[in-house]
Amino acid sequence: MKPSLFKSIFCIGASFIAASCLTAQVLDLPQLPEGVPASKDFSLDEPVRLIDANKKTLFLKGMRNGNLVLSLPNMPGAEAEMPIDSINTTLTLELPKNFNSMTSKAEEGNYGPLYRGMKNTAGALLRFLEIHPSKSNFHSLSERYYKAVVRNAPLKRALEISLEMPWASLSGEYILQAEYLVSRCITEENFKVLEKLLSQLYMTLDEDAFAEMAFRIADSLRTKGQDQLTAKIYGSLAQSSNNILRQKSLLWACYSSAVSGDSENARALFENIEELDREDENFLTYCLARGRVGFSEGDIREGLRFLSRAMVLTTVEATFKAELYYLLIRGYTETGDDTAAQRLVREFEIFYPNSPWLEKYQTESGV
Amino acid sequence: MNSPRLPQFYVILLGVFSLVVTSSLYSQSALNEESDTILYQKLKEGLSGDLVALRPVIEELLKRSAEVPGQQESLIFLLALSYQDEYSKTKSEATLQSAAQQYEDYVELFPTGTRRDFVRFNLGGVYNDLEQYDKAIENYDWLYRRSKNNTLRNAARDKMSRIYISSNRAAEGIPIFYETFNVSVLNPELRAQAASWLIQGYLASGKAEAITPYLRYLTGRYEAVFDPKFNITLLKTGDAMFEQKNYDHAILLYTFVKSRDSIIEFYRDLVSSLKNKVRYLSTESDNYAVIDGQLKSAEANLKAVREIRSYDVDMKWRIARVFKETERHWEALWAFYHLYQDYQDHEQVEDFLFIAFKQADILVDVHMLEMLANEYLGNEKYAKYQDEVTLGLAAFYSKQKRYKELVTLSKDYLKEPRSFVVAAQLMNYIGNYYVQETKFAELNAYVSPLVSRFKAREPLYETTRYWNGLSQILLADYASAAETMSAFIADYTEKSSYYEDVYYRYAICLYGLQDKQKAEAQFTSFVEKYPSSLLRGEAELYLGDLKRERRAYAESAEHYRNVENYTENPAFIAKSIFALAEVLDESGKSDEAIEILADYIERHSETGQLADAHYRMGMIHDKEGRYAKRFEIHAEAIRTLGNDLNRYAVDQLITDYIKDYSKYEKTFDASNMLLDRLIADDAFRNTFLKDRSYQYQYMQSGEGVFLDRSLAKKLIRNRNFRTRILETEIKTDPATGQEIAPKGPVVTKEMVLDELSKLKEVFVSKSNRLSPHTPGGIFPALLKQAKTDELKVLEMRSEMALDALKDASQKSKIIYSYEELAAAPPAVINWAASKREESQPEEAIKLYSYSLQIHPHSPAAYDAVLAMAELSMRMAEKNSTKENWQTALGYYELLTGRFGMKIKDAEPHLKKGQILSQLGMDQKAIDVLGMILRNPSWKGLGHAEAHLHLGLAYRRNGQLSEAHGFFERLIVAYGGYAETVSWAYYYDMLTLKEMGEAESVQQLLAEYRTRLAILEKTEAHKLIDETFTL
Repeated sequence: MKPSLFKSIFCIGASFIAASCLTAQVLDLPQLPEGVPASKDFSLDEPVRLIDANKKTLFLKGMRNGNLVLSLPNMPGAEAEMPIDSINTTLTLELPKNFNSMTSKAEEGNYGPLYRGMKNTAGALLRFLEIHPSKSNFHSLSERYYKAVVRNAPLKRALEISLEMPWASLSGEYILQAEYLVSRCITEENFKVLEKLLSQLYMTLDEDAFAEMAFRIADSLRTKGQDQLTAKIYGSLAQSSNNILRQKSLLWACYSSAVSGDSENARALFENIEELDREDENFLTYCLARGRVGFSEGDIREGLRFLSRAMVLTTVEATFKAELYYLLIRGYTETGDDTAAQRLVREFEIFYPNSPWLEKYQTESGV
Repeated sequence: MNSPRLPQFYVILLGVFSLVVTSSLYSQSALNEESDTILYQKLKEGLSGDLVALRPVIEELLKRSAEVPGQQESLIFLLALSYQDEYSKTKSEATLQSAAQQYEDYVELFPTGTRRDFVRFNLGGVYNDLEQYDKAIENYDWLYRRSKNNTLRNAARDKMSRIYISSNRAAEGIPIFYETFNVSVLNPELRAQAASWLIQGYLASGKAEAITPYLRYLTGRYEAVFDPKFNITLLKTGDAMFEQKNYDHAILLYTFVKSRDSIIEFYRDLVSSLKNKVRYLSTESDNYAVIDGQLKSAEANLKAVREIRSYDVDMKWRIARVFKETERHWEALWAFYHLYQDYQDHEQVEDFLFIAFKQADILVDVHMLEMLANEYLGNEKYAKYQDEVTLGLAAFYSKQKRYKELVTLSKDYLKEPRSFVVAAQLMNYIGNYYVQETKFAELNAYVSPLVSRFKAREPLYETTRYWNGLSQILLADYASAAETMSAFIADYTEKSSYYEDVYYRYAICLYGLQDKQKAEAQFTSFVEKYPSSLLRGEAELYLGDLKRERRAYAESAEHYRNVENYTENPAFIAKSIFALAEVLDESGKSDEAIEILADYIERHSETGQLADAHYRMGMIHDKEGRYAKRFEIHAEAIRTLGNDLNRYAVDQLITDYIKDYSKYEKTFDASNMLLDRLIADDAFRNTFLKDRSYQYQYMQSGEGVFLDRSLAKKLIRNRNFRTRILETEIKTDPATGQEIAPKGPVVTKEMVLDELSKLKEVFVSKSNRLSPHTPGGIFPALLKQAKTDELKVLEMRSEMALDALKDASQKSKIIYSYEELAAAPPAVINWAASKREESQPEEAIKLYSYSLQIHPHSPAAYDAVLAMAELSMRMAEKNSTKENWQTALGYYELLTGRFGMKIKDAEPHLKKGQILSQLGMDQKAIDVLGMILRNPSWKGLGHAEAHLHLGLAYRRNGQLSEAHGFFERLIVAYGGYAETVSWAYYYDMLTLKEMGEAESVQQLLAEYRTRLAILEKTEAHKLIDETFTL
């Protein structure tokens, strides 16, 4: 269920959904702002030349009220509107002669030629991906092109393009590329536009698809100190009707609040979460959240109790493991368990030599 | 492992051979007769089938081409392949040797042959199968260094690396591993592989520290990471590191060991993926051999890992052990707890649980410790660590002050102790609990039966004896305690952990029994025997007291001074300083005493018993007649310390201030009044100073009783002074009628009046000096100050003081809420309670209980319990129900059980005996009263009363003879206590009458008559007269 759809059902007042969702509503968590859906009413700067099933040339000029606006070369000035869901031909973009060369270079990591070479064709078609794949060759082409966009286009341009795309109609491959773009935003610290992109993705993507990506993104944002945006991501996810997802989001929201020093809010959020056992799906997140809340409240033993359990339950590959090392070292140091702290430091340096959490530890401890 | 040969070369061969061989079975004789063309044809056809079957053809062709070496190149290769094929079916080493020989011939004959790379590759495989690793490596290395075929180069490099690993020569492979690692930047799978090899290489060469840069590459789903051998290497090396206590590296290695299930899953996926890949490869393609080889290797690994027992638990166990050994107790706790949860059938599951418990114990984790302990103790199968867990849980309860659970746990264990050592330790917990809670009677009731039950069950027996003795001391049953402690000293040696304490406590028993000489000897012996004992300070205090009692002040002072050298206990230090001040004062060194107290106040300004010190300092001044100074000091102490809730001595300062000021005020008033009369009234002066009888009467009168003692002494007994105030009486010689000149100096009336006026001035001055300190001035000011400064405790104390100054009709109506009283000193709560004794006795008892509850260790706690006992007794007397008597008994039991050493007289025990009798529990009453007789400090009235009540109890019990015995002893030995003795006569007469001893009754009556002068005014006299006619 998409969140937007869920929200409308909630407003209608289906009582059973309202009950399951009460916690998140009552808590009034910050959320991502309402996303702006891609416009379905626009004209392209330059029409795109296409071939139909009869090998006749058509020019795709834009969209009007969600319909394709087309023109024919032999009928200058005339335009035809074609509803997207009733296309009765196959629209094909003829590939340029150097297409293979561009894609080969892209496979070798050189996306520039592809990005520049098809800016006005494949680039423009990214806005028309609502057209069913069986009715065009846009999709496979655009997939490659979008990969080039997120890697090669200036960040601002890549985000503009992304915000114009009909995400609800896009495959998982696009979502992977979108996550790459999000990583670029985080690396290049362009958080304002990132929030817009996330809002749009949240609004249009399937809940599970968004959630899978969003937790990873929130991890990175937290590391960058972007607590507010992180809280909004968790707050939005907490609106889910899926109990497990909602619980997990609330737990991360707790964690996030605790990290940002708002232990009061963290504790208030925690009051709404039942105690979890090891068998529960979100137990690990629960341990992290409880431990972090403990730390933020100055209860180091409580922090150690839960964070150490999370440590034992995770492998070195967990995304938050480096943060966990940092926290446990801090906890052991504060409780005077220097031997344990030093052992952890050694492991930390070996496993995560480039982690910002290690850097943070080293800076704080003056190492 | 059987090295796969490279089948792609059939293709090459097919291009070369032009003849077709059709027969599948070839006899050498038949082949001899075939033409070359036919043989080549047969060879071509047979290449797609069994090369072993084709070998005669190959050999025949080789023979025929002996003169044309160029033709032999492919045939030798094929022959070698046929032997290799045969080996794959028969595992005959001889065939493998033959293959090797053919390949070696090829290398020698055709060093630049077109198939040399393949020959080298296959030869490497053959030597590997023959376990001739040097030769295998030599061929792979040749290929890796010289081949221009990238696939073969990489395959040879990997084969070579694997041989280094599989042949336990990983250390020798480090250079090639390193080369591989360096070219793997763009190939994460190869990087993981090379990293795993390097790790194994460095571990084999004993350079564990060198592996760390490579560990981080062991993440991701790469075969190298899941390789069973690699994982076992990690596990084994981790173990070796662990044994060497190299925990850092041990855990590093363990961390990367994959679980058996995950390895199986990985290889299952890999096999499936490789099968898919190989399906679409032509058997003649370049990659086929490589992928096929990978598939076979993956299948072998999958089979191997399926055959091994799951080591997951062992691995997790190892990691948990590292956590434990490296003091990462939190992680160790969870790691072992998870092992316990996940492997319930494991043979070590009990150990897992116990170790988890130990970690929780080390961490004092309130959540897990108790849960794990109960989990362990709740499982009937677990016995190995039951004692340790029980003790650990008991220690935890003790630290948490969860005494209810502690005592339950300990008592449960003591019901059927598995170990008397453990039971002894638990007995100590129980003993400590009861002592802390001041439940001495309960302790005695619990431990006393255990002494006989566990006789000779050491060390439990020894422990129960100790606690039994201690409880007897705390109940002031010194006679029993002395017996217990003395026997302990006789039965045990200094090896006993209780010996030192018992040796000391025995001295206290003797002290309690008033056997001062023996007590002093025992304390002295203790100090000599245990000069560094923690009890030395307290012993010095007792020695000081004992020597002070026999007026050995200098020695006594020395002991008091010693206390501070041997203890840091502030209570003992305070006691010793105060006692020292008393001794000095008693020795006439009051100034020194004051200095000692002033020094104490200065040195212990933070934590000392300052209110008490100020009190004492003031009282020395008081004793010296410096009343104003006393009140000045006390008023200042009340003002500065009065807002401290926990300074209980402030309450005594206040109480005595009011009482004594009033007394002195009356004294000075009475003294001034007397002096005024002496000055103004000549007749009175003459009579008062000269008539001893009048003096006595005056001193007993309402005016006289308040007279200043020093003034009375001066006026009545001080001859020197009296000579100055007795006017000289000029006598006249009756014979001559002339005045007879007095013998000494003449004292005129003027002189007398002058002297008395001077004295009056002194008293006026004293009175004037006192007046600024009047309670009526001090306490309202204090109250005002307290209110202004919001000093709530001082405010309540001031209110209490002011209330004491008022008449009964004007008493304060202030009622404090419980919330306010929660922050009030106990004396204030008791005061609030006392105001309700008449109007709301139940509420009064509730308040006294409240006082006791929130200030259980204050001096007022005793006052509260005593007040409750007396009030409840009065209530029972007023409304004599069983319930009321039982309530009263409860308070008296609390009083005698908890404050045994504080009770100064036998009264509470007498009351207790009386109540027990009321409840029909005479035997118990007899026990209680009998205890009074064993306490020598209660000799006198206490013993007299005890005799009376014992007699009464026996009477009620029908034991008339015993009853008579007690009455008789009372009459004989305690004649001074008229009321008690009179009752004894009465009840003894009744008893003797019931016994039919009429004559004895008459004798007793006659005896009573002789003592009528004393006994006539007693309460029993009337009853005796009515019953027996005096």
